Amino acid sequence: MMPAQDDATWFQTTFDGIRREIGKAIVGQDDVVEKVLVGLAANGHVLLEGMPGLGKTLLVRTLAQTLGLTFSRIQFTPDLMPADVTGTNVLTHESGGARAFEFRRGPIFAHLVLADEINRATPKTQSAMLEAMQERHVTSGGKRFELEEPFLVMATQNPVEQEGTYPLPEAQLDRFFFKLLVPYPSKADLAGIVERTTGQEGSEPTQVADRDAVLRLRKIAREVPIAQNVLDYGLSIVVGTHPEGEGSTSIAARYARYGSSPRGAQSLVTAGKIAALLAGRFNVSKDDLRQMARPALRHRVLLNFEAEADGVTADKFLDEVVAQVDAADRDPIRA
Amino acid sequence: MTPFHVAFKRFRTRVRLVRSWKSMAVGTSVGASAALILAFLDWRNLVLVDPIHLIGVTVAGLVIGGLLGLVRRVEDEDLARSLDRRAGLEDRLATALEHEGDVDGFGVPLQDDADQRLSKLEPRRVYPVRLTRWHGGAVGLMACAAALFLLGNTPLLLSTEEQAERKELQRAGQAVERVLRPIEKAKAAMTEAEKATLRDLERFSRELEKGRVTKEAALQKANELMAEAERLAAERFQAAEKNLLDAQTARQKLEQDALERAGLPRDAGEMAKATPEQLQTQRQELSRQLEELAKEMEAAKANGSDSESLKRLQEQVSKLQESLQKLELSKEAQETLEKLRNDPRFKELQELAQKLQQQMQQSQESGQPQISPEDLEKMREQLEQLMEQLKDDEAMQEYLQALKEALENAQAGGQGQSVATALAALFNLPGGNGRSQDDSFQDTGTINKLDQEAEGKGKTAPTSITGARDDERGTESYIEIKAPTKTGSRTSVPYRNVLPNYKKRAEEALNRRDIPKRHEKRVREYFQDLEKR
Repeated sequence: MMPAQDDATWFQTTFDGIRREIGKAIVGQDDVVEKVLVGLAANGHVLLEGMPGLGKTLLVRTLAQTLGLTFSRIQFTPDLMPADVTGTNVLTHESGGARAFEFRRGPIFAHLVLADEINRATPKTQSAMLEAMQERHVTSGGKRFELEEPFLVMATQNPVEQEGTYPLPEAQLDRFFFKLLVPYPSKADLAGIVERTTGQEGSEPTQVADRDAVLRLRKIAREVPIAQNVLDYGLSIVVGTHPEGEGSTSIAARYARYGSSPRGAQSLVTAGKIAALLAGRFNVSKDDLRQMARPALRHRVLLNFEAEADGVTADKFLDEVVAQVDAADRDPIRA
Repeated sequence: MTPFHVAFKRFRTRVRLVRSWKSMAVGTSVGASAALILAFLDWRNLVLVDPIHLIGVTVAGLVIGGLLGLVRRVEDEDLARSLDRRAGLEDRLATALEHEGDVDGFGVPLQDDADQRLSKLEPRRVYPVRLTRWHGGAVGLMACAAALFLLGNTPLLLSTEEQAERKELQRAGQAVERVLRPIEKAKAAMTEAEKATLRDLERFSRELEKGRVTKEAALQKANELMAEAERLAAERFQAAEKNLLDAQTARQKLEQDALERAGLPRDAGEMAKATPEQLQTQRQELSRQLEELAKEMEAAKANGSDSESLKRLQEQVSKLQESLQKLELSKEAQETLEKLRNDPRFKELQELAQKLQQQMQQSQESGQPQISPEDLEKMREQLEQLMEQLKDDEAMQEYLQALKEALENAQAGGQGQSVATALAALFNLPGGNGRSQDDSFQDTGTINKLDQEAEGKGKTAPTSITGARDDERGTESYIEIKAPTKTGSRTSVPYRNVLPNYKKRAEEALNRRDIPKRHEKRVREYFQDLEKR
């Protein structure tokens, strides 16, 4: 077998192994689990939006467990200060009696960070968190502290109880690779959850990969080739969200206030590459991009009041954009 | 691994075939649309179209479309993308094609994967030949064009009278076409005005055949065309006459050249116009006068006449001797000219010129073509042979050229006259060969001539057959005219007996608005005037 083919097979096997282990703790939510893993393989942070108690924290913790990575959880509250997230300098007494400032690393210094209810923190704290997410290092007292790779932040936010919250500004939202909507479990899934949590303890997830494996997953994902026409298709979806300009779609002209940024295109293509590998292919297809359009772009488009009045959600909007791009994408040989 | 360019070959061929199939439908749709427009224009009488035109336009569209589909280039990139879509290959081929030859990363497994998938595909399954909207459209448009054309041409929607009128006009159209057929062959030698008239005639013929003109409009048009044909014929005859004059001048020059070559003065021909008998008488008379003068001179010398008288007598003798000498020269000139005129080729030309002149005169006098096209053709051939034989003789060539031009003009004039005559006969028009309005068109064609003159069998008497007749047996074209009355003859039914009936029909026609508004007054006044008489 060729090395590249080995890589692809290893990617799939590892990914499936992690997924399977997570499945031991998380019942249902297959799509969310898969997309979180895609975010992990793509080196992108994930924003999870869902009601409390849907297993978001458990998901992150299990993920850390299966990968053997460090995990920390930050519960965002209005009084949370940036130093509470990034860490702070404290005065310490050294053995010789000397005093010195020592940087105490905050909870952000972990491989997997769960930023729970991120929208409850003040913008100042949110900024500190998001800056660290973007830059992948923390600067304190003039010193720079690198965040060790892999570094993945999974932020959650509650779609209800918006009073007293600080919704993330668009620029900050754009830093998340994916925004995943955590749905209610189905009746069957719910039965599984109840059975698993109220009955005898089942098998615990075990570590099936490590830090190096995650880094290798990222490396392999980047090597997947994409054809020019497929790339054009993905870019058409991205520019199709723009309310004006070349490639704008009619629905965007009507409902969008702001369209996706270039980061959206990067996320879409990277996610497409991983989806291709998961599908056992060595190339990105248009279908991969189609599949990844919602999680990669839904938090990057800002809809106007008319959309809200018409009940057009970001997902519906993106579906229509994709449909319009599909309609324009014709068979080059019309025979 | 097979290179994609090679692996695509069978798909490329299939694409060409399927494209051609679709392009044929597109081309046919375009052609049928053009046919539909033509059918509409035909229906509105703006252009006259035959079914063959509609079929031709549609078939041309089909062929052009099919060819374009076949020759249009099929790019590998397009083919790869198309195959990805149609065969559900999830963009494998397009990506593999872009990374063909790439051995890094996923290049090799990607190409292997694509190649394997491609080998399982069947071109006819990926590109099936099927009926598209274009095919349906083409059929629909063809049906519409055919329906519209039939709608414009079917006599079923017309009343019985209109159908009868259309049939009559169609017969007239066929007759005009028969008249035009031989003329069209000579199109190359026509002037622009003649060509324009011919085009008008052709259009008129087709309008008649399709029954797209009213009887009145047909009459008006026929009248105009006849006048034009007569005018053009007259112009041609005038030109032919001028050519004949030129030929005469050229012939005189030819004779003068012959005299000069014989060492005689160029004006000797004038003297040589007298007959040999006249020359003999003149010679005898001059000899007698000379003898008398000689005697007179001797007598004068003997009588001792004065020198003045002798000188006068001497001058008279000199003059007589000079006249006698000229007479001798004219004899020689006559002999020279006689020799020239007896030359069989020259004789042939002379006869040709005479025949042409005579027949042209007859044509103009009778108003009918007297020279048959066969005769003219024979003359032309004769002339061309002579031109070939005498090509070294410049003077002869000039003469021949003038004759040839005369012949051509006469030929064209004759054709114009034929057209005018035929139109007059077909539409009961005054003019042409001088027929009256009472003549009516019946038919044209050929008859077998018998030894005895054929007896016309018409519904009304008398029946006359006109046209140039050949004395020999055989077939020839004819126009049969059956007329209720002839110019100068009288009908046995008093017009008062038939007037009420005709007037009633005229009033009915006026009530039905069959008669154009501008002519209504004329029709009323005509019948009122008849009643007053």
